[in-house]
Amino acid sequence: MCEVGRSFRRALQISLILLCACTPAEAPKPNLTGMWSDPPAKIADTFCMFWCTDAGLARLDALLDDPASDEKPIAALYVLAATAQRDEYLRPRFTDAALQYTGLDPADDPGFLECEPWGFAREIFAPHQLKIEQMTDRVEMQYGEWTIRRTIYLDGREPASASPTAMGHSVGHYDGEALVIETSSIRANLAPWGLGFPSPWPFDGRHSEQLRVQERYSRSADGESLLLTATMEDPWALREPVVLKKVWQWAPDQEISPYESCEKPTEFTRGTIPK
Amino acid sequence: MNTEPRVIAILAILALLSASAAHAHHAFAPVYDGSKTVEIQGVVTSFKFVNPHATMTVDVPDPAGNVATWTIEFAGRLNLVNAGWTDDSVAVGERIRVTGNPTHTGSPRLFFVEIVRENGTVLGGVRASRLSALEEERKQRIQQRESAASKTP
Repeated sequence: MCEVGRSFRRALQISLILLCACTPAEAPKPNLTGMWSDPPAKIADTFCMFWCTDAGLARLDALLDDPASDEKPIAALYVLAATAQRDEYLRPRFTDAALQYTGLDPADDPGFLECEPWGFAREIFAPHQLKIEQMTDRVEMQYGEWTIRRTIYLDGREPASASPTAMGHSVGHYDGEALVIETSSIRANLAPWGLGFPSPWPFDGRHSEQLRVQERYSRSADGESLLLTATMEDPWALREPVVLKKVWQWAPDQEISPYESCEKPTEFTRGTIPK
Repeated sequence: MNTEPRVIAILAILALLSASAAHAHHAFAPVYDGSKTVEIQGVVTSFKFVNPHATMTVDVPDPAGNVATWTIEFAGRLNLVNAGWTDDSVAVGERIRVTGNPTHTGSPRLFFVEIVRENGTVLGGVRASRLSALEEERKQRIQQRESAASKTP
């Protein structure tokens, strides 16, 4: 090889070494990209199909271990566990202001009456599909329910507008094996308390524009489930933060189909929920 | 567990699962009575496999020969695909028997629980397969507990 060729090759090697040395190693991040859907058909996961709490799961576990519960249908155990997490975990954390707004009749839910899509606080606990796409500068999420999309910015940017929006403003970062999202600037709306499996009726409620939510998403040890831990803070509604959990199952074969046939109800009756 | 409580148990969880499936977008309780089921037989005249709720119409003749059109409301396409449903799961012109929760007002409308085809095959919702798995897990858990207790001196 001629001298020019040797020099060129050496220069190229040095350049590559310098390039590698100067480029910061990309921090490891979990691979959450893909389609997720309703949780595995397991007792605990099903209880967390919408949301659950550690308190509710502990009560469910105790009921399942109690021989006195063996003759009760599993639906009855769900009701007991849901009631426990409502009365022993959620209710003591509610402010007096928030307690005045519990007990929404489902016939008055704007999602039912007006086909109005859910706001952020309910949508992140929506059942069925959740599609996640991780990019360099952002994460895109789309929910099957209402086909609502949201963007989580990874550059820490401020909201484009000072006005709160239905899905708020989300920024995120990776923390080890978790995607952590902070959302604020959320328009006051219905809270997720009334959703559940089964719903602990009658116990719906509202949140204020002061709501801030930290979502922490990670994969289960076997990689087949997506776990959410959501910490919700709202000085108007909550005396202290509330932590809700949720589970999805890896569902690569599923798709999000159009959500365009919502019809306002032509017949309904108020006061039909158990008091 | 004898037969009667088991039937009540199944009806209870079906009602709760119906409510949960429907609560995602449309409230179930204001329209349907989850504590009751009604059965109709007739011919499918339409099937829309859409969100937020799939719907079907069924022409149901009475003994005098009059035909009433019933509407069957399902969970949404998003939910039904989890139970293996497709656009072609039910064909127009097919004769079926439908079990569902009636409305509070007694109008010709049901919330779907189960369909039995003329050849006897059964179409269920996602709740039926989930219920079966949950009951199986619970049975195993009880067996494990009883087995551990029997080994304890």
